[in-house]
Amino acid sequence: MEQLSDEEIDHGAEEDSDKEDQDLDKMFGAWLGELDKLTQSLDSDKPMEPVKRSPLRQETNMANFSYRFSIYNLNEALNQGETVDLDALMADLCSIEQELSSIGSGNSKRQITETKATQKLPVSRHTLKHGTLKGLSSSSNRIAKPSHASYSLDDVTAQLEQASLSMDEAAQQSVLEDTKPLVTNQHRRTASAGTVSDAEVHSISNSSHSSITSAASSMDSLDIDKVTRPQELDLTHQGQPITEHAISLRCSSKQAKRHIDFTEEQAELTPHSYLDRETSLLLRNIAGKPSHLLTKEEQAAKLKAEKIRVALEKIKEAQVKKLVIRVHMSDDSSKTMMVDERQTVRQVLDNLMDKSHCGYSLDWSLVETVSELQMERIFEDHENLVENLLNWTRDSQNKLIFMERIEKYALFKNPQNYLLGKKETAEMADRNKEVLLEECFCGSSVTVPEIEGVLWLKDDGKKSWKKRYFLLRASGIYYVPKGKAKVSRDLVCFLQLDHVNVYYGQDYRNKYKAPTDYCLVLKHPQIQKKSQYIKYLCCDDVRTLHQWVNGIRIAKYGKQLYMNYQEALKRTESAYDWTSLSSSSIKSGSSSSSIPESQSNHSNQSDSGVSDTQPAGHVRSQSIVSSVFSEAWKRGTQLEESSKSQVPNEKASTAKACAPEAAKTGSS
Amino acid sequence: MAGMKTASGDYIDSSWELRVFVGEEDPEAESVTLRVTGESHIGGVLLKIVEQINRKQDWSDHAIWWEQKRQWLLQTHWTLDKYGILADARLFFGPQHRPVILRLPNRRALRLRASFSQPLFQAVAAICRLLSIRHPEELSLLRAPEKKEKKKKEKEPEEELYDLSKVVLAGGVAPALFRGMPAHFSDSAQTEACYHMLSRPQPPPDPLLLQRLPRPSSLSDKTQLHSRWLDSSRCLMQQGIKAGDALWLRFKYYSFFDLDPKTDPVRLTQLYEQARWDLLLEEIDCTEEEMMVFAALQYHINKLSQSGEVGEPAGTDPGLDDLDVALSNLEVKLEGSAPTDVLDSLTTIPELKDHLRIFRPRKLTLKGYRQHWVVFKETTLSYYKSQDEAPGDPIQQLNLKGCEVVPDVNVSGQKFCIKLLVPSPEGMSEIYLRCQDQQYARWMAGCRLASKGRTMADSSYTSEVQAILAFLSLQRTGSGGPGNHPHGPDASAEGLNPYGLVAPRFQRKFKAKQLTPRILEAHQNVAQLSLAEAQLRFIQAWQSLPDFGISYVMVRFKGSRKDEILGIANNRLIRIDLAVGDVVKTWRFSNMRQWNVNWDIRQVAIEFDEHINVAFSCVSASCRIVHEYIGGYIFLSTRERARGEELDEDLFLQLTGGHEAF
Repeated sequence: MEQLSDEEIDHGAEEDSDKEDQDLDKMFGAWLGELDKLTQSLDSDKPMEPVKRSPLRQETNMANFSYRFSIYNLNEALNQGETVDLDALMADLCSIEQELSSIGSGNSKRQITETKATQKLPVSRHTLKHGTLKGLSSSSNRIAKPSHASYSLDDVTAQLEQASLSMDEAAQQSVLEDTKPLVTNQHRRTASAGTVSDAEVHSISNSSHSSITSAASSMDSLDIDKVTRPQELDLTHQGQPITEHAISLRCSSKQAKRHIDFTEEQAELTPHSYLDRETSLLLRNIAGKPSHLLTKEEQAAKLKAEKIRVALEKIKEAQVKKLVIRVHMSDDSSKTMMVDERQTVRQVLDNLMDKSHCGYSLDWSLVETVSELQMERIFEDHENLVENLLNWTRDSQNKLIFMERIEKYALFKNPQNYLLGKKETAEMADRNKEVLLEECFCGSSVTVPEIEGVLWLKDDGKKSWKKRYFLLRASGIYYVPKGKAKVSRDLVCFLQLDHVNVYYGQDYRNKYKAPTDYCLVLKHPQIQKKSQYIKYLCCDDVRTLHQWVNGIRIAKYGKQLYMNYQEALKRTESAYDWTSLSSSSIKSGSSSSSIPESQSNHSNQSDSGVSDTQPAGHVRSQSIVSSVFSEAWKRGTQLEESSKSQVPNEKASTAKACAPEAAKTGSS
Repeated sequence: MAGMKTASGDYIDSSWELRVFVGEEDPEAESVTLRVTGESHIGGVLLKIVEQINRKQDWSDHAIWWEQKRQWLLQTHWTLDKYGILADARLFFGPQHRPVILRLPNRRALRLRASFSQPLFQAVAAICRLLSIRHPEELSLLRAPEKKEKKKKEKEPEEELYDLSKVVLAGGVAPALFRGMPAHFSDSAQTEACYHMLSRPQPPPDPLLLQRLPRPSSLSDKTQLHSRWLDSSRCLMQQGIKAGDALWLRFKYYSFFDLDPKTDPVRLTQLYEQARWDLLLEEIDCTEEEMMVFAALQYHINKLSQSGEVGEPAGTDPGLDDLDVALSNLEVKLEGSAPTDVLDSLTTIPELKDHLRIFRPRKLTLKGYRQHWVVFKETTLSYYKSQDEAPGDPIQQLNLKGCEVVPDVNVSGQKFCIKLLVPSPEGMSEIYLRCQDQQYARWMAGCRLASKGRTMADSSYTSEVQAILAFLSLQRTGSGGPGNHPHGPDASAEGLNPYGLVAPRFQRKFKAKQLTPRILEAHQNVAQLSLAEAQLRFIQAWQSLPDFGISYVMVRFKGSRKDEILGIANNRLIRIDLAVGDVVKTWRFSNMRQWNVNWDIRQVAIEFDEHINVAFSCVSASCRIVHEYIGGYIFLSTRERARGEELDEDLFLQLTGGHEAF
């Protein structure tokens, strides 16, 4: 609901204070103490330099991130349903930045901080945006929001410090009362917890607890940064600075008064966002102490409340948050795009395919690489992308790569190689493939292929590998203990699959002295660093590797996997249909904005546009469009399949270990 | 008219005397003698018999059984000549439907009238219609195993025999629902009880009884069961079944079509029961972990069915709930009239604060539990050295979202620990919370919700707390263990007796107090399921066992000198080494071209694609059973295409029938 009304560019600090609402009084005291110390130290000596440097470093770092946690709360209600184009949004953000800085410049004290902040920013597109955010946060330093979610906490802290330095004592005091302690507090906590981004993300979301409970954002969303609609911002500007209230109202009422008192004096200084929730609270407060408040404000608040009421029905949509991510393409370029927190990988892939005019092959995948652990995973189409990305740490070198990967759906193209538990590859008639897939995936329960055999298991913490006989069952991976027979009752459970994902290890022969490079890794998605909870298995050949990985996928995702494939197939086929080809290009124009409506359109369209749902026709690439006759078509795809195997190899320079292997499987 | 005679009493037409026994096959039975000719129609003969008996009775179900030929004379317009009946034929005039005692998949006995004159396939279909089980083609009847007389006399507790023999079902129409059950069950309290027996899972068996029941110890033991299937193309009478005999009703083909919890309560329950007994009697093997899940599901199912919570719980989307709360919350705020405290109570998420003892296992430390001040808010757990330091920074803060929560409780030992495995980028952090008795339920519930990303403000919090409290009390009553006081089926309602839930080999391997916590641990993952969902989950877990759905037959392959096992599953045939149990070869039905049976030498020959030919003779069962299995699975695989159509009985009989069918 804050998004509803608006724009809270900057209420991070207040959110923070909410978090502890219960012991706020106590904490407040503590913070004050801390603050005193801090300000003293700032006054007495000049630790400015190091303080300043840190944000710099932070930024350059951030420029390299493959994605950033900038979540935009787009209020569609207020948007009146217009689509949000990323570029437009960026432009808006830029203009806001300028606006803010110009406003800020009215206040000479603040100006310093702001210009500093903005100057530091590199000019590249996404960093600019980042800069914008930063500009926002710095310009609004008084309310001090750690606007960049987890990441920018450092920056904010640093900037706060700067701000505090540049401001006179009194102002500084009041500002810091609000903000600083919280931020530092969080930092410290993070450090002690030993977790980085996640802890922070959560602590922030915790901190915004009032917004969580009261607002519709009750899903424990990571409302990291809520950047609001530009229009809204403008509105705010016109409608008087009411921000102080926003601050105060976050806190318990007692606190609120206190805050109001001091924020009052700052009223002119900063343009602020506010929350609808606060607006309503404001209304209440207005009644309480009319002497303080202008009627104008009151009116504005009422107006706002009215708006909110109108927007109430659309609250669900308003709820949706967006994340700006950077996707690396196979040619080493990258794209920045916005994803909605509800979007599945499939939807993001559709967007990317539309945008990059790369054809609609089934094999386009989003691949997550965990560079620190040298492993990668193809996201499944049904997975929620944002959820997965939030597992990354804030200084993560992880990448998200958009590339063609044959192994993604190889399971369905040649099921006989994966489902029958045979050692050698084989050919199978299309009809039989269908039957096999139906048997495996369309019954009342999914049949997990019987995969078993000797694998190498890496010892914990050592670079030694031991052979064991492993078996895959629907309930997990088992191994045969020494000296026992291979009967169910004696099997020892190695791992259950509920909490782990399966990754391909990259170049483990070098990294861990693995017997071969055909390694698979099982780990909890949140684990990002070396840990005893990561299990490494090594196969003798690439075929075994793919059998295991696919077997595990079947055991883990079951029918969903097949549904993903069929969905992808529909999408591909509809793209090759001549009529829908044109319609899809139209689609791509509108769909660049990732609003949910456009997604639902997608699926509808692809549903209706399917000319041939037979899974037997494996349509691969645009180049076969010329084949008119079905026979020729089929032959063409087969040819394509073998020639295609080279493609990912070249294109995907980023995928080190697996793409060549994939090529082998594909052509074999 | 047969029986014209001269004045001297000599018959002048070609009529002769036909003696027909009235009643079932019993030499002492009363008999009537008729004068007939070869041209007499069966219908006329029937009429004469009834006239002769001269008793007021409903004879409509009666027909003539020809003993020597082992066939019913059902074509009333056929003449005796056409049937080939001569004076020496031993004919019995008896009812076509006779009572049998049916042993259901849930091991309960049910008396009902089955058709002795129709092919078994139709008879089973009629039985299933009576029991309201859809897709009767998946079921069939087996002969009851021969009981050893001595043991029987030792002690066999008088078991309840349900009786449906009086119930007559109107033909043709699907039974209408009345008071939540098919109308024909709601006639009397007795039939109602019968429906409950059919549609609700039975309590766990007595562990002692379970141990006494025969279990297969080898693959060849597992073939025994499959030698007892009756032919589906012949009638019961032809297969030597007599009125009052015991028969088993079982799901024969492991291909369950269109299982729907809404429309299939009886089918689902019986299937669940068959799966459960399969596991308990070790007909199918599973691992320890799998057994715990099965046990937890059984426990949960039993609990629900005992408490009568048969209906679906009002499962509302928690996310939506939150939204509603948020909305109403927003409304309140917009009104601007709500007093502050109301607002606060709405916006405040409940939290837990208390002194708990915490233990963090680390390398090289021997520190035990330490007292801490712990604050649990939203999904985050923070702990401090003491309460005074609480406003400051916690020693550690853990977000429990996505973590694993494992109870470690020993009620008699007053140990109430919660083990948390919290994922973080560095790995998993392990932490133990040791609570007091009265703290445990609330903290545990909080942890469980937090692991799913929900807070204690969630509507399910209270019910979760209640469930945990119920558990604790359960552990208190159930901790005695079965060794001291064997629980009957009734006692298991209150206490959890793990031995009734797991296969006997786990009874030998683990003590009850070792099993209980593991089952409870597994239970937490299924505790939210409704009865039907839990049954379905059980069936699915059963279906995903590697050995699921394989019917074993001992065969001897052509050219081989030793017996081997042929496994027949819904999509393939498996050649298995008898001694080792290893799979030697698998053939899939999708590659099968044709199969033939040579009834004389009892050999089945199968031809697959690419000129692969397989031939074997059947050792443990008649080759008819193998033939029916193959044909049956082929038939079942056609159902998807013929969805919604009437059962194609002819096709089934064609595929499964023997040489008589042609």
